[in-house]
Order: sequence, then C-alpha cells, then structure tokens
Amino acid sequence: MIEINKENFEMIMFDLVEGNIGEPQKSELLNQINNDEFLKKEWELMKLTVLEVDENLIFDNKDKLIKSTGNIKFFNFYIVSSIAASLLLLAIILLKFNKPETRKISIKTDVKSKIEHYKNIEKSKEFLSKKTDKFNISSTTKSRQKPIIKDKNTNEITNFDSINIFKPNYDIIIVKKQNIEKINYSTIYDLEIKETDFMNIEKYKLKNKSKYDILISNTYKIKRVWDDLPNLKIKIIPKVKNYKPSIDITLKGDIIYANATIEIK
Amino acid sequence: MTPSQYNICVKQYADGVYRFIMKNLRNSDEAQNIVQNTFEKLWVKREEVNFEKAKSYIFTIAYRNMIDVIRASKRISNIEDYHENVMSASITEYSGIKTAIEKIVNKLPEKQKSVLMLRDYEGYDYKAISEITGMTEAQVKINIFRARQFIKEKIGSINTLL
Repeated sequence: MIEINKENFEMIMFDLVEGNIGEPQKSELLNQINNDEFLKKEWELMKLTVLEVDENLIFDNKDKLIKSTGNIKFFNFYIVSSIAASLLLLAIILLKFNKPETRKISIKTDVKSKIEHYKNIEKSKEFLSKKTDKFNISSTTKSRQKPIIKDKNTNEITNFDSINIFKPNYDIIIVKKQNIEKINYSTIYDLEIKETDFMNIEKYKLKNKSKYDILISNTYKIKRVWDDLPNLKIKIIPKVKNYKPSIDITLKGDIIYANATIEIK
Repeated sequence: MTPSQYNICVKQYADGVYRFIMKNLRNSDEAQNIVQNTFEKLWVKREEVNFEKAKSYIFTIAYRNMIDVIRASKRISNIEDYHENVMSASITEYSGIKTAIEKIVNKLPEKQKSVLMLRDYEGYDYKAISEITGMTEAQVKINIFRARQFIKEKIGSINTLL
C-alpha cells in the first residue's frame, strides 16, 4: 500500500489527477488525503489544475472546409431521388388544398433563362409583402452582376445582394425546370450566367393563409432531407394559375443549385 | 482517407483544433488561419493519411504550424522574461477562480501550455502527445507535471493572500 505524506504528495497527487493510479489504490489514497487537512487542501488545489474545455470556442467556418464528395453519379442519383421525394411530398400537400377561392390568386412567372438567379426565401417574402402590384426583377448583363429589383410604379431600383452562390471549383448541379415526371439535370463547372432572366410578379394573395403556412412549414421537412448539404437554402412559391395549382421550388447551396416546377394534375 | 472521411474529420475535429490553437495564441485570426491551413494540408495528403490516425495528424500539423507562427512573431519569451512576467503578475487582476486559472495558464511556457491543453482538452495520452509535439513521453509527462505544479502554486498563493 502506498502511503502519501508531505514528502511524496506532489507526485502522487499528480498521478491521481492524471488517472495514472488504478481504482483500489486510488480509493485508499483519497481516504488518506481526506484524513489530513494539509493533504486535503493540496488535493483541492491539484484538482483545479485540470483545464475545462471552453465549449463556447468553436470554429465558425467549417462549411468552407467541407469538400464535395466528387461522386457525381451518386450525387446526381441522390439529388434526383431527393427532389422527387421532396416534390412528391409537396404534391400531396398541395392536392389537399381547397380550390382557389378567387381569381386574384396568381403569380405569373416568365422565366426566359433556364438558369434563374437565386432569390432566397427571405427576399421573396420581402417583395411579396410589399403593397405595390408589380415588380420587375431583371438582370441584363452577361456576367455575374447582381440583378436589380425595379418597382414599376415608382421606378425605384434596388440591388439584389443575396447572390453569392457560384463558387469556382465546386460542382454545381442544375435541375432544369420540368414537370415532376421528367426531371432533367446536368453538371456544369464554374458556372457563368450568360442569359437574361425576368420575373414578373403580380399581387400575391392566398386567402387561406393557414394552408400557406402548412406548406411553408413543410419546407423544413424538405430541408431535413437535404440537411448535409452545406449552406442550403430553399425557396418555395405556391402558385395557382387558371385554377391549376403548381409549385416552384428552388434549392441553393454551396454545391447545388436546383430549380423545378411541379404542376398538380 | 476518402473525401467523406475528410468531411467527418472537419466536423469532428475543427472545433477542437481551433480551441487548442486559440487558447495558445489568443488570436482568433491566426487560429482560424492555422485551422484552415491544417485542413488544406489534410485534404492534399488525404490519400496518405489513415482515417483512424487523422486526429493525431491534424493536431500535429496544427501544432507545428502554431509553433512556426509563434516563432515568426517572436512570441516565445526567453526564460528571464518569462519569470519576470510571472513575478509581476498582479494578484489584484484576478477575478474569479476560472479567470485566475486562465491567466496563470497563459503565463506557462509554450511547451507546458501546449501539452497540458492536449492532455486536458483532447484527452491525449503521453504517447500521442509525444507524437504530436516531437517530445519524448518522459518530457511530455514532466512538462505536464511542471505545468500543474505551477498552476497549483499560483492558485495557492492567491488563496493565501485572499
């Protein structure tokens, strides 16, 4: 049995705090320490030398370190099947919608480019919530310049500053705008936006707000499907045109740009 | 190591490396740079690095990088400066035991501080720490011992004065 005393306590306490002493001996030593005021005080101090992990210190830029797995075949399969699953879920939700209660429910979308600029959901909400009837979102340059929002009534121009998605050296997946039965996709590198796109949005109204909320809440379910993709943002726009409900979905992340329209038949 | 395993390493170890470097250097920008460089090197060497040994590899790279940064910025004080700093550390600046310990740890020589952090933050054994730092296991143990003794004595002296 080891006896701890004023001559050897430093090394023994060090071994104790380091976990270098096994259980039976440890208990015996702790008993001895607790029965001696001097040793007890030293032991309390020794325990304070064990550093505590500061959980508040975290590395915020992990997303920047994450790499694409580079398995295009697998990735495409994953994307297509995920989109199909997501859209199917949305279709089921949308089919449960009541028939539109008014003809005023409409969003007209006129996309001349197959590659749409990304507008995140917050921005969508922002301009949808404005009172003005019509907006014209346009980008008329060939490069990556940001599109602008032009208010047709006041001619006020606002920059759209949410576009920062196309990173060189990343694979970017484009899912072209198609019906659900026929999703096409392609892989491109270092995307350049060379086409002009326009989107005209008329006054957006959905009388049954709760249904819209249900739809939006389901976007989070979709988000879970895509949870491992870095910086993923999802935009969903439900549409009713000529009594035909449909939904636009845009998924955007560091390694994906997906865009699809589903028509409910 | 596959790209997926590399991504797992980022998720599992980036915070720990950052914490280790940040606590040593107390400079967020430098700590972030070192983490970034470390994982860039891991990515380049991923095919040569065994996933099971990735954590040790990451900390080794980060530690060496940190030493280079310290040397470059001449942060390593000589022994005289070190003792001067320790002796001049004002007791009155300590507020609370955690803050006091943090300040005492910052007064430790770089080697002692690093090995103590690897031991306490990451739970490495002496062998793993010796592989990361290039010290022998005996040197690792003695450095941890000295670090703990130093912290204990400083806290003891604060307690006595208070």
